[in-house]
Amino acid sequence: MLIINMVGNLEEKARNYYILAVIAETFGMTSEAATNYFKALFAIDDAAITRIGKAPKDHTERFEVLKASFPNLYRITDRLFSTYRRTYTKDLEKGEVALVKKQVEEAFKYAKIELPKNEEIRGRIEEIAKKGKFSG
Amino acid sequence: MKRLEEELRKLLKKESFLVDIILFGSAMKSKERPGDIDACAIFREKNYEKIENILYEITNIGKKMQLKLHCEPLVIDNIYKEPLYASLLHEGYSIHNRKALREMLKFESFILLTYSLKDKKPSDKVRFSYALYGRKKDGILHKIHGKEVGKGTVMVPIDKIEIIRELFRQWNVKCTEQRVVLFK
Repeated sequence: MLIINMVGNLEEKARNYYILAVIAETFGMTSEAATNYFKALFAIDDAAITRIGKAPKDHTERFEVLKASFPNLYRITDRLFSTYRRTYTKDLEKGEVALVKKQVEEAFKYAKIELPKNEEIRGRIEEIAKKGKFSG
Repeated sequence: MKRLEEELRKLLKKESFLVDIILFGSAMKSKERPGDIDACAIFREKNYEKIENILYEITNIGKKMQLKLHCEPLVIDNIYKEPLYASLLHEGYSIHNRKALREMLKFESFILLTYSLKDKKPSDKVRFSYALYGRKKDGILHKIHGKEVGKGTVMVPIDKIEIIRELFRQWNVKCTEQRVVLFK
């Protein structure tokens, strides 16, 4: 039961990070978009790993589990990892962020997590606006 | 390092989209055990998919040799906007040309090092000076072809800077550094 909850939370997190990334990208905030796409990817990885009852303690172990059990997710994460490291010191360009997005969307597919649709993203923005969170 | 160079050279031959791979950072500065190897791949144009594929190949070459190889991409059109470019000119080694960029451009790269021994005991000041300059100009500075510029200021060839940094670390001597270029 606990594992199911954890997986659900991680999947929800992955979708939320993705939504935040799309919103940031729409506003031209490429750095924030990239950060959230990467967060979405890592949440996808963790959701997949948690589903098989594993709990890696660091990045190295996480990569090992991915390589053994989820080769497609491993390929995407491994490829993007050096790009992710680059964001520590540099902003990615628009085209690079678009490429990250494309691969994160692939990761959603491989992990069988539903990718947030445009209507859902629009709905979320309207929901926040209605709640008046920006009015102070 | 030689094997890494060979592998990167093979990749350069295969990928015409890739102009050069420049090695830089501590591994090129005589550091005894460099933790990471820094590289910069220079590309002809902004094709991010191609760039990413090649960067991944470069990372994998490092992985196969159990090296922590970090590669930064640089597109030729952006080269003048990129602060890294100045460092590459100063200390970089071109895989394509098998030479340091400074060698090709005919200049010498140094680090101007300014230090103070104010907080040291007189005996330590003498011992440190012997280690750095030697009694008869046979200290580390001369062995690595460094130059004494003035009191508390020396100029060290960029590819040997880690040797001097290590000496300063051992003696706990604080210093400031500034990059210098001398045209031949």
